[in-house]
Amino acid sequence: MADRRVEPGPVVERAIEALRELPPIHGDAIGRVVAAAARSRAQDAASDVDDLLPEPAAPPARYARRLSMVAAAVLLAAGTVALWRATHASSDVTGAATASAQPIVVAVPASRDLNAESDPIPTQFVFDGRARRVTLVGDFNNWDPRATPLEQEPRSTLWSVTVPMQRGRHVYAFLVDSVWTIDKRAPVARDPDFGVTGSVILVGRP
Amino acid sequence: MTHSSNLAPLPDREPARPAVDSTLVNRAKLGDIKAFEEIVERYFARCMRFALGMLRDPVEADDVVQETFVRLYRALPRYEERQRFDSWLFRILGNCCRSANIVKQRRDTVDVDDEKTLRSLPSPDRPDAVFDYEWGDEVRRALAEVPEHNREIFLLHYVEGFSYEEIERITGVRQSALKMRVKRASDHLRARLAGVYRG
Repeated sequence: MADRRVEPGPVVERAIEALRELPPIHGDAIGRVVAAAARSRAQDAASDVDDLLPEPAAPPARYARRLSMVAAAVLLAAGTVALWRATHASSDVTGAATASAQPIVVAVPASRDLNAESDPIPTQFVFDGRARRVTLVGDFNNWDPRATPLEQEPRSTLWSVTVPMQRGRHVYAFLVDSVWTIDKRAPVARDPDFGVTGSVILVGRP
Repeated sequence: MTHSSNLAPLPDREPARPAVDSTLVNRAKLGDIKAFEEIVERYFARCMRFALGMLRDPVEADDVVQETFVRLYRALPRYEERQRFDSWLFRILGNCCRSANIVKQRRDTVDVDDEKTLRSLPSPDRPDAVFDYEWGDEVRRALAEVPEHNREIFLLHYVEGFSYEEIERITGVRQSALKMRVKRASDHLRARLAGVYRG
């Protein structure tokens, strides 16, 4: 290695020495990691798909009841998504989805009840791309990466989740295999507080 | 330029902890969980050290390291030997740390620990405050103030021992930019710690 290093100087060298100290490994940390990895690969094998495809994620319990209530709305939304995809068939979006190199992400209100302004509106989020795990993070779930996993449609690259959302403007993103992914088809908000970009959805707007 | 640093040998060059050999990796690729466990044993502490430098929170660092090894194990069948194994591992780890930081920034508008830290830092009003802390704590606090994109490169280069050429392969950032980031991180640490250091 022939790096021409800039001398860090004595203060920084002492700092580097402190930082090089290896942390202690507690208890069964390694066994836990190995077990998690083994479980993960076993799920891959059981899913009967190739190595790149994810296992279906179970919906969180907190949304299970709500999801059953909005099942009809989801069906409606699925039709909306199909229509959306059909209308964009000649655009680059379809090509991106086919190639899987540039996933598409869409979020559409699953239904809208104009008679109940305060009721949450079931809103479906859809991600199309190859991944092992996709979760939804946003201001509506406190940016919790574990709260809202998407479910994958069997033998497809389409992932979706329906979330009851309050009306108004929301910022969200997807974690695709833990990588922050914005919706390139949605308006983008650069948050001055955090300096990172998210996608914007307006819920309940005609 | 001659390098007269007194720094100890870098971790991946220590004879006691050689890089993993291709046989071990190949066994793990084929699903040998014992081989994978050996890989985890060899790299776990280094990964935790890097994750702690990037995230500071031990619980989050632990989560990120676990996620990294899970992703690594699942991706092993696609690993190509022409790529250095630890470079590949730290690329996955860096991605996981950056994603975790984004989520954390979103969640925690004000970090209570940071507020406590700010109150405890030495100042003209509290010149003795620094004695409350060990040198290592002070260094980690100073490191946390370095912007993430500079901090990551500094850790990869000076702490984990990767050359700029290797870091370029890991991050995709050109070497001239990498050197500038390391310099900026070093400048910050030097300025921040100069008043604390007693040579």
